[in-house]
Amino acid sequence: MAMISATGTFDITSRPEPPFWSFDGVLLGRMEFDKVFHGSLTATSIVYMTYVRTPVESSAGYVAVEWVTGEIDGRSGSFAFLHNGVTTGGDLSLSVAIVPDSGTGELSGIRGSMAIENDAGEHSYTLQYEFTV
Amino acid sequence: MVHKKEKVMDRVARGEFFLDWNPEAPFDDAAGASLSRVTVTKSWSGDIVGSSVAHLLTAMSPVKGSAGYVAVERMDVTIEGRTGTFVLQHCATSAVRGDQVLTVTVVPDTGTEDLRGIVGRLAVTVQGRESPTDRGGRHLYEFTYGLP
Repeated sequence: MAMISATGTFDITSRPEPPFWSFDGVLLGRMEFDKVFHGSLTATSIVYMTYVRTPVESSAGYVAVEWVTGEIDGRSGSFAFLHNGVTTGGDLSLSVAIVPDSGTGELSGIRGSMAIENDAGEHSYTLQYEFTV
Repeated sequence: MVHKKEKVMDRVARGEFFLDWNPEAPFDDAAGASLSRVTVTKSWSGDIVGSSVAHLLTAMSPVKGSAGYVAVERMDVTIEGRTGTFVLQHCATSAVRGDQVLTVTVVPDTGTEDLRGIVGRLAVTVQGRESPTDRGGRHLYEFTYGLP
């Protein structure tokens, strides 16, 4: 069965915290985000992030867990994403995947992954998903 | 145009680490997955000697055996005589009906002192464990890395 494609945009409100560790220009810190999704995904989420910054501006990383609650194509429930992003030479390599068996309600059994585009602060997404039986 | 010398991962360090698991209270314990922050301190032996602190974000599914975590880990170690710090980034999932997947890589440009410029990836074999967030078992590592 082919994955279903859900697309739209989201808005972000961030709550940055100061770094909790630093050494020789390498910083670790936490951040939280609230997101509101529009489009095929009508939902809100909270993102819990830990980020890595380096003395080289174009080198960085972050990881996060995200809890999403709302509707996808009319089915309501919640699920979790894991984010793993590394920026090398300014190019972001990002994986955002649904945690296996994290779906609840009508989203029970959902699996898939999300691609995110950031066009000067305007975020759009493409969620590819399916349901396991 | 910038020409950077490609760093080659031509060395392998092997050994075992021991860990101490310090969970915080779950911060999002909704009906589905339970999300938590966990701090893990490790002591490294073998070709890597030293300590590390890993800051995990875990997502435990209500289905036993299905879970995931991501982490950043600050390493303060000596590798084959070279001492310094660097940061690893982890992403792991396991599904009760599927595979366990774990990737651990060095975040670029996090190396300091003798380990400045380090690149690498870590493979971990755990003997006797059901999911990536289980704590038991022996943790054997193989770190494939390169230095300028």
